[in-house]
Amino acid sequence: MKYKKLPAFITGCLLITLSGFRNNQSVCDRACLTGYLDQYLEALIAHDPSRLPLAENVLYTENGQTLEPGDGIWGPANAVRDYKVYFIDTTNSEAGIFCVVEENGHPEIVSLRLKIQNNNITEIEKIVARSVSDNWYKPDSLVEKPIFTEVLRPEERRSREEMIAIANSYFEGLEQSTDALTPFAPNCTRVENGNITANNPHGESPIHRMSAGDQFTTGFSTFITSIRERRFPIVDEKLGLVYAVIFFDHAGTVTEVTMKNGITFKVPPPYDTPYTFLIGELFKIKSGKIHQIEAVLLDVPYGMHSGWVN
Amino acid sequence: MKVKFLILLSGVSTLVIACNHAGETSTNNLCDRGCLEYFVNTYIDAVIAHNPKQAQLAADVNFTENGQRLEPGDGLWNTASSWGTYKLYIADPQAGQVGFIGTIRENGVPAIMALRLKLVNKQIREIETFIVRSDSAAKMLEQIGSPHPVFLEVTVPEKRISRDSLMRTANMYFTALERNNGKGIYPFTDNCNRLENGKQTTNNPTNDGRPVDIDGMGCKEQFETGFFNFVTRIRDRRFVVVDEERSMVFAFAFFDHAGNIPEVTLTSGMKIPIGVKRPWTWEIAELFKIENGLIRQIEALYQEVPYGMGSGWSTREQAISNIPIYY
Repeated sequence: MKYKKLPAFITGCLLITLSGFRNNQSVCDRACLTGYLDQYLEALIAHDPSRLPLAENVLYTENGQTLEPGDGIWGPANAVRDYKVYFIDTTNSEAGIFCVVEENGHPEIVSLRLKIQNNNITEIEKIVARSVSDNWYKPDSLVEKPIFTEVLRPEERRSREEMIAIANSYFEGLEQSTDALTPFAPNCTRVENGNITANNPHGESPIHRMSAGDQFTTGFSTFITSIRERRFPIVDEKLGLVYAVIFFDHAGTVTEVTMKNGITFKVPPPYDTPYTFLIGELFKIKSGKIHQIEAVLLDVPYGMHSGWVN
Repeated sequence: MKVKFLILLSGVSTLVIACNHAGETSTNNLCDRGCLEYFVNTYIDAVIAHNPKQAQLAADVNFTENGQRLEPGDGLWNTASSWGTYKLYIADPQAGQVGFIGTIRENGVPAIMALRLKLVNKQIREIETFIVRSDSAAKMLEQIGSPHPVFLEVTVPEKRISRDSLMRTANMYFTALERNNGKGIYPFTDNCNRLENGKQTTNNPTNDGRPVDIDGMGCKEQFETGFFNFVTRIRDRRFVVVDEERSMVFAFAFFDHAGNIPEVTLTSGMKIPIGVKRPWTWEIAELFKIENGLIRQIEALYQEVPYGMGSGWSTREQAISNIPIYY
């Protein structure tokens, strides 16, 4: 992924070249799509959407709300940190990135998705997880992981449909509170807003010390009453990545959970009242199993929608 | 015979009261104050019972909670466990609408609730709820005990102003607050106060060493400082219930803070650093008591929502506009 390290002006030159290429071929390859993301981030911290090839009818949402390009994070964004995880879908011409953008010096964890059509950006979907004081929010702990840039060997790859089905089985397993549906690799790790919440030997909570698969085995998740509006807009077949955007609803109806080992715990606030997470979640799928999960999440009004589904 | 007649009259009176409560006050379907408050009470009773069938809902009822369209039975319907002790009603018989600010328990935990019901043909056609899930705010509100007496005062007819004037006066508050510069028109009485999430935020000094103690000032004095300049837009302003008899206006709105104003220069020349450095929106329910054409008392609920969110009751254009919507 050398293109990630290219200085801005080289990236710009590359984009100009690619732009011409795209005009002739109408195909935007991995480097081209990655370039759009880099160009977007540069325009963002310059507070200048006019630097981008935005389609006339571009649709832009930030945290599920339709905004005009230039509004939202465009106002206060002033730096992009080094942490970047790219996921690229050359089949659907979509590109995504997890990164940390500073707003007036405050680090915000960002998930960005772009759709490119006819050399223009037609869709911008952004999740910006902002937190003022929550110590569960750790942008400083985010690091790039080699597994997310590892190219799969042909025998490790699966079809797009299989990859989406595997990612969806994660949500299905959580919603049904079962380990019978989801193919986890041993020691599958999960990072949420910079916190290692599975397979973390230093985790404060016992459940965070378990692998993701072992967590599912406990049946802990019955208080997640619905995982809805499941979209899988980016499938990166080369790297074995699936990016999903979903909502986790907690209706507040489950106030106590008895796990499969017989241990009962009281559901803590705020999950004992109507409470929803908007989540951008990335899965590394290798040889048909989930090896690593990284997620950006924030709480939103209960029952909120993404703005991308009628 | 006379006794029998009185008994008969008594029976009619009881019947009228019963009909009142069912929204059948007259052939023109007017639901008066008692009737509207009855609908609020039976609605909240139904919510606590987790039973939408217990409420008089129209088949095509629309329901939102915190700006999200839900099915009756979801959201607070799942978790409400009992009434709280604070209750404040706003009645608009002419429009068939009623507002309510009060406390409630969710699985035993206090929360504040703003509610709007719209009645059509003796049924609830619209339900708009705003739940502030902060037990500390709810407890503060309950500690106050009861609504400010001016919210219960009937305005003598000769001092009442038109619905339109009431709403326009309330809207002046939002206009004055948006990009507040200290030079606008600030229609407050000298004894105006504001309660927000159970806390008085005027004439209530914090004495915490801040360079400017905004909460220690009166309504008008606050606005004259230009302090609220960092509120970049107040949009989706909906003036939904007008209580003409008591000169009250109940509104919903969104306060946007674009996060691009790091510092405010007050009219005194003093520069104040502003803590809101990221895009930030408050969803707000706000009740105004108007007295002699001026704002006498304000009571508000607010909660953070995703920046740019709308109410679920407006068009996209209305949701992003600061043009008032008068019901």
